[in-house]
Amino acid sequence: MGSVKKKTKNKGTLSRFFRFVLWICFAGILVAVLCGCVYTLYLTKLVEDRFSGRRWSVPSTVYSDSTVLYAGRGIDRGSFIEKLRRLGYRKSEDKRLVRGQWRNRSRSIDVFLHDLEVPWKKRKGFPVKIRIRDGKIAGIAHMKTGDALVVIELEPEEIMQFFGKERERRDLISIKNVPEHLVQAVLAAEDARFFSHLGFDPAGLARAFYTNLKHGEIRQGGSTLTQQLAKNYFLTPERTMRRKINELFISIAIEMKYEKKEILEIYLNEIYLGRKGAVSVNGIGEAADFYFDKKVEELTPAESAVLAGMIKGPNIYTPYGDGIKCRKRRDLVLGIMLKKGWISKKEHKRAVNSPVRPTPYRSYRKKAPYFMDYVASQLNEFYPSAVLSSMGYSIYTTVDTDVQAAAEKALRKGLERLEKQNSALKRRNPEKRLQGAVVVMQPRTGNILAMVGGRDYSVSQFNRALQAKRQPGSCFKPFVAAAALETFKPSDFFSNRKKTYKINGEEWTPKNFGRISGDKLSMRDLLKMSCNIAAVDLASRTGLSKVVSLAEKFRFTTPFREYPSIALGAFEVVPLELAAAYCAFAADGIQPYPLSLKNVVDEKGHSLVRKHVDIDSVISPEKAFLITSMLESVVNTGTARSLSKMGITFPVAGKTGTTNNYRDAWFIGYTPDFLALVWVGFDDGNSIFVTGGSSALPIWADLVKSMPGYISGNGFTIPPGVVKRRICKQSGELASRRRCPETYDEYFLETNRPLSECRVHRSSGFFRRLFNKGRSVFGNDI
Amino acid sequence: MGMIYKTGVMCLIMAICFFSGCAAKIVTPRGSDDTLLAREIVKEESGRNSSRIIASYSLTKEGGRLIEKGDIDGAISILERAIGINSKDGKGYFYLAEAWIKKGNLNLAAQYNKLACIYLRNDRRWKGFAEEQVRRISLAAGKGTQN
Repeated sequence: MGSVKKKTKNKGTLSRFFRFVLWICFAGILVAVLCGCVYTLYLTKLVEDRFSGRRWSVPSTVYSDSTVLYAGRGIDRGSFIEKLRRLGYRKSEDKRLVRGQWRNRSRSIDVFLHDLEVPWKKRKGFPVKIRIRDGKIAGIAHMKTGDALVVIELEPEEIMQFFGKERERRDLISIKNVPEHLVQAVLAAEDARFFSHLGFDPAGLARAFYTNLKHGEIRQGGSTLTQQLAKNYFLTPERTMRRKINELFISIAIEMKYEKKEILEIYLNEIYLGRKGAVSVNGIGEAADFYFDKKVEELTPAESAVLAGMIKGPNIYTPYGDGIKCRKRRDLVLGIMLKKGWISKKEHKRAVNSPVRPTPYRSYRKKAPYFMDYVASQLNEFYPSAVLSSMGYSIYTTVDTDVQAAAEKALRKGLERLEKQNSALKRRNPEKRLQGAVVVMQPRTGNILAMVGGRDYSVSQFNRALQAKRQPGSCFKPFVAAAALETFKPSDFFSNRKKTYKINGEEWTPKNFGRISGDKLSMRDLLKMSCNIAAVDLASRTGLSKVVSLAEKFRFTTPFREYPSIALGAFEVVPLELAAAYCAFAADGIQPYPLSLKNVVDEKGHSLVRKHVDIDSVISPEKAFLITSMLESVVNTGTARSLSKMGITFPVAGKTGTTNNYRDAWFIGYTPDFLALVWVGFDDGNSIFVTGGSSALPIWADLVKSMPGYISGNGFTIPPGVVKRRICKQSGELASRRRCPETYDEYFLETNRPLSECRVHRSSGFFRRLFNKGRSVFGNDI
Repeated sequence: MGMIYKTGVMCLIMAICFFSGCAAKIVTPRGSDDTLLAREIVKEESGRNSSRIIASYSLTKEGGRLIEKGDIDGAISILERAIGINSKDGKGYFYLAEAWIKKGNLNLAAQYNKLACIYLRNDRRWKGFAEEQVRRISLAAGKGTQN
């Protein structure tokens, strides 16, 4: 009995103990669940905070200007097709033309335009036929309606991105635009039960565990898309139990907070899919563009399977790598899609039989690097670089990529040619090589179409167009002439006789570059022949203070002093400022401020910065015209006359420039539509042994021949207040009909025109005729 | 006398033939309402650049429309594009001056007006508009509205 009692007592103690343990376990589980819930709630908040703000650092993108096409515009077929390629247009392989495709015809190029969305214009894409004849657009027609179109605009070209330290490229997409087969391919490759699990998939985990156990190594991961997202967003890539548990909780938190489609969209935009040079390709949108040159909505099922297959190992299964591996992986994905019933047998067969054909590899390269540095320096006034590298702004600039490429090529070829012609110009050290700079502008607007600051950006980032200060040489003479026009006339004579000037007690005697005959030259001739002695005479007779004060009006930031040598461009200038100053001559005396940055818009298309053309009058339109007219003589019969032999047959005004000991060589030429400046020289000031006419001028001609879109052939318009008179070449006065043997037409300011008739040939008496005869026989010395 | 009369008639006919031959073929974009405009422009500036002028003018017209709609910044962007295509687009300068008057920058308005006066001086009607614009700019400047 006693033993029974004892047994019962023992049993009761045991059951109480078990109950206690059970309670402890239950309490432990409860606490754990409660803790789990609190932790998950905490994580939910964390996830919400992270996802409600900016999900990704999206680099800001810099674009060129858009391209305006119209009938009559000069066009180079090859360059145009190249431009279409750069803009992401693809050649149509069949008769059908779909959005973003082009087709080359014998007399036309057909293009199905992309949608255009720029701050100044929005329009849907449509197909156009661009007829080309004799290097010009003969007409543009809407291919569906047949309507003739006056103007069409091609979208701007991407030229740079402001990357942060992550150096990621990402083209964000909306889940609405993702084709079903792409979603299915991703699910087939990574997480087929995505739409049915709660962030983690026990069946998937068990399968992965079994597979890995069977092979004795990690062959399969059981992570769902949500877990991958949790890992990429919130965790480090280390493989620890703690991280795995965290991943699980974060996945549940994400699933609790977001819809499946939202999670999928974030995943598709986040996923890493290889590298484009030094930049990583993130998101399916960027990958579609990089690997197939397509928008996601344009991908085929086979292409979708390639991208989905790459998620497992982007650098192993890349279509640019081992083709067999890539194809096998694609076919595996397609097989799962077929097994799941997501594609039909026919679709599967077609996809499996199609080759993997990625678009030609495009590495990320900064275009127009010197120009971009200039733009970046202006942008930094508005935004710190951290903002530019993360906020996904679109930055629109004035650069024309075709002109920029032409300028880079012309400079490179020109410098190589000079080195070939004279081996003394060659240098072993790449940093000491012969250098050059080119600036191309629109004189009316100040838009910088191209800027080349040096020969090779990778060797030297010093922007010679912007940062160099060089003597302009004879390129400064037009400013002296402009200052003189109030007092003197283009037909007035200036001395070409050697003269010594005293500057700060020291003697200085200007010399001409070559032999220039005649004791006196008219203002037009001294510019045409670039006569130094007469130019100094012109400056001193005008008044050096007048010359300096007018030069300052042209907004040079470098100082000028009242020395006679100012006439020969002895004071340094910045090439870009010199180009901008010359714009005033081309644009009726109105000088534009150089413009490179036009618009900055945020991701939602809101305008943040909008810059307009800014202009200011520096000289009168009449004086600007007279200078232009005289500079036309430089090109027609003066120091730049070789331009016509180089194929430049339309009206151009320009000026050559060479400095002492051939340290700098310049040519600045312009039409009413564009202005281009070319400088050649060594950074250390060594001689280049040639004049601007022989070095910079051919580069200018090469460049201009490659920018047909800017050649209108238009001449300069004579403004009111300018009159034309017949002048006696000998006296510079109004030519007397019949009596003056050599005459020419000259332009004058209406307020400063010659009034008196030629006094040399005034008398027709016997002695005067004898005197004139003598002059013509013995020259002017008589 | 008869001889002089005949010569006169011949000269007149030749002159008519010469001038009618000089006029460029009118480019009329199908499906657009630019027929009159094209005729007007080609009459003004016959020759090889007429299509460039038409292209520039179509942008100028759009700029003018945007000014009427009150989108001044949009108008300026379009008009700047127009003068980039055709630097002799007097109407483009006129509308740019108009836009800058609206934005209150009378200095810029005056600069563009100056160009408008140069390039519209052969068009009596538009010359009148440009001159009237000068008066408006001076009046506004007198009121001290310049920014």
